[in-house]
Amino acid sequence: MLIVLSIGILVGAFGAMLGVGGGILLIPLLTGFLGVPIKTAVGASILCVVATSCAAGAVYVGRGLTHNRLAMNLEVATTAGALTGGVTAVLMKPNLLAGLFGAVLICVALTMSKVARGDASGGRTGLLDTSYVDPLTGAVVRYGVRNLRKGMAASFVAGNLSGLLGIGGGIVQVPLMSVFMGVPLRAAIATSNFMIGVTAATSAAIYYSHGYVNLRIAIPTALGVLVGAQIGTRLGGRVRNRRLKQIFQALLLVFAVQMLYQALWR
Amino acid sequence: MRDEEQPEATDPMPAPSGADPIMHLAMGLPDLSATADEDQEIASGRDLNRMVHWMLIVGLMLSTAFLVTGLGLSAFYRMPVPERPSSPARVLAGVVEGSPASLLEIGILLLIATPVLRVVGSLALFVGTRNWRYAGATLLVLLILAAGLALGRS
Repeated sequence: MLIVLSIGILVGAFGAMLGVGGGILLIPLLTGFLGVPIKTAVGASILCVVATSCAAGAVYVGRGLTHNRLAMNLEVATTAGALTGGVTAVLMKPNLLAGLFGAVLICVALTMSKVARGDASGGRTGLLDTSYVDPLTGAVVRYGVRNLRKGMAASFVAGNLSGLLGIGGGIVQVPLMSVFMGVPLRAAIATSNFMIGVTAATSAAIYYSHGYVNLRIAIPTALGVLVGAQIGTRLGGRVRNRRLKQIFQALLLVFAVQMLYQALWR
Repeated sequence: MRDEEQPEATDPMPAPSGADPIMHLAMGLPDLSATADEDQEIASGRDLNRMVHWMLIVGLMLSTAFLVTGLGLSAFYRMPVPERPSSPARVLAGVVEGSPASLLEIGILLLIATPVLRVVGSLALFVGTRNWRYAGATLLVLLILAAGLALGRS
């Protein structure tokens, strides 16, 4: 149990720092190192996402980094996606699930590489304008949102991934918001953390009632994650945008490879 | 003034910390103070922020309390943590008995419920401030959540 707890702390910290729920880290870790069957790992992961989201979300909302209104718009799409994804997941073969997972991770990693140095954001757009205070520099950053409709469509896909794979969807949301929708990376991370909780809760409801949640694994993980998220939100505030993105991409690649290996050779 | 780090995502003309609006105008920079409409948005935004913040923290505290208590009790009584969750009726019965397993299950359920409560809270806030657009969006999310629960039961 202590191992699972420590994994939880690690995952929670990274998740909170990078705007993901931790599922993309947790599932490969559980299935790879502890040999947990994938559907069980997915069940634990979905809880972990909810935990990270609430814990990190609370801190980020308190700092004013989350774009609540944008989040609430996108949530309609993500939860709808989570619904369809979750239903499909229950019916899917485990190997297929793992393979899909790996493929998705690679796609996202590639997308992030295509991003130019720095963010595509900057300036108000007249749509959903807001601002925040950058924790690192103390400057006030104002921005608006672009491509809302396409963003909603992409969020629907993210929601499907959430329901299907037991992740929060943050792995898609963060690049989507920061690259495509003009949200600065830090705010994208904070907003993503905030959003994925609801997405994951939708999937969690489905998973829980179908008995995919193994309490013995899920509970220590969740507790570890709650602790880790506290660490992660504070740590993330000290790190520069560019560094955050690099860590994100590195992680994606590592786990993409891991999952594909699992799908093909286990 | 902090010079060692240029923020990577800012307006074309970023605001230095401790900005003075009048000086900005004098230097030909755009007036960065908010308009009245934006003040409204910002004010209600702050209310939303505060409420969401509060709900998340309360939900987390409750959930953690149950989980930690449940774990503590199960360690104390040397009862193993169960693998699969049981039905709601059994959970409630278990709480009355003081069964650690039930406490754990309630902890998890509370955890899942926290984002849901957050959505409900924001719905209430939007209705209260007559922000119908966002009330509608939030209601939609709730309906989808309910559908998820309904699907789960079957």
